[in-house]
Amino acid sequence: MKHYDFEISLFVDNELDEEMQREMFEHLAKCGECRKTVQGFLGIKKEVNNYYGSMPAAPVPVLSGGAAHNNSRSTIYAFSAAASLIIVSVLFLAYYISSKASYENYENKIVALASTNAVLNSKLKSTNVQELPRQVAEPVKEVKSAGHSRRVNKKAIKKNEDIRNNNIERKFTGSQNTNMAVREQVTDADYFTIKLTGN
Amino acid sequence: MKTILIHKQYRDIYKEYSADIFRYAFSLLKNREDAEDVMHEVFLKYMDNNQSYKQECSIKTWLLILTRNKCYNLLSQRKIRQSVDADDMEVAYRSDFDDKISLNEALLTLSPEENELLYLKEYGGFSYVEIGEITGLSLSNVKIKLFRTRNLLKKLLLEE
Repeated sequence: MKHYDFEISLFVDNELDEEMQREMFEHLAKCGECRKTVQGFLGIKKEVNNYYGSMPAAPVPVLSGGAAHNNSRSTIYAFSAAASLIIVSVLFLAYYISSKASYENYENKIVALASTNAVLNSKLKSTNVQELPRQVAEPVKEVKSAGHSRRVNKKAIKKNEDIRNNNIERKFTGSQNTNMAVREQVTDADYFTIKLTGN
Repeated sequence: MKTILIHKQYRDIYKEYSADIFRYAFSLLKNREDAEDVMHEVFLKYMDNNQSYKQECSIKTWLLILTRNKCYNLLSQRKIRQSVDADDMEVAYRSDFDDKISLNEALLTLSPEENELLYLKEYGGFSYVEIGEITGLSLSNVKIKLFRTRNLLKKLLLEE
């Protein structure tokens, strides 16, 4: 009887074609020697499989250098960039909110000032400045003397200045002590022109 | 974000194939430290230049081809066959065979090529075609060499 060995190696690996496999089954049913060979090859298969299977797995490596190192470094860079971007964004947002709040506050102040001015204007219009008593400056008299062609009566000038200041002060207090009133005082102030008479 | 995804991909591949690569390297080198070195080098090479993977074979096959090349380079450079230490082969394993010699001793007597064929077929479960892709052997060569290796191992274990 013919015995197989090479074909049995293929048989245990399930690498025989269908026809050869059927022939092998028929032969094995009759041949104890070939069954022993099959058992031997299957035993080796099992032993080698168990041998490598019982081997402890390799330890987890500490990846350093090469692409792994570059990748971890790239990851760190990416996170740093993202963190920086977030910080800058938060700072910008805080600055924007603060600016907006101060701008709104400034706007409110302008509106309040405008309304105050409107109120003052209306009060100012209702105030009759002419009602306030007013002194009239006296004309300066020409003084003639022997040694000077022209002389000014200093006492008269001083008195007129006092009158003018007194008028301004009364007007100021009579106009509710406001900027508008002061402005009006300035424009309407009675500046005395001292006309000097002479040659 | 892309970097994180790529990093996760490497980790997944390492998780899935590191044990197979380590054992395959060990089957060739018979030295644990060398096998670990080769495994790490293979993964670093994969991470450095995984563009060379052309998807003509599975990723596992491609990694094993890298492993094989590394191992044979190491074998030729260090002449590791002469410096095999039997202690490196000790694995916590007891054979069911009533062996004349231990499986460790028997595997030590085999060549790196015979060991890798045994590993790829008996443990790795690769088909003959896949083994041919990894080792560069023709299909008929794979069949014949595997058969001879099995016969040799059977004789060493059972018939000496």
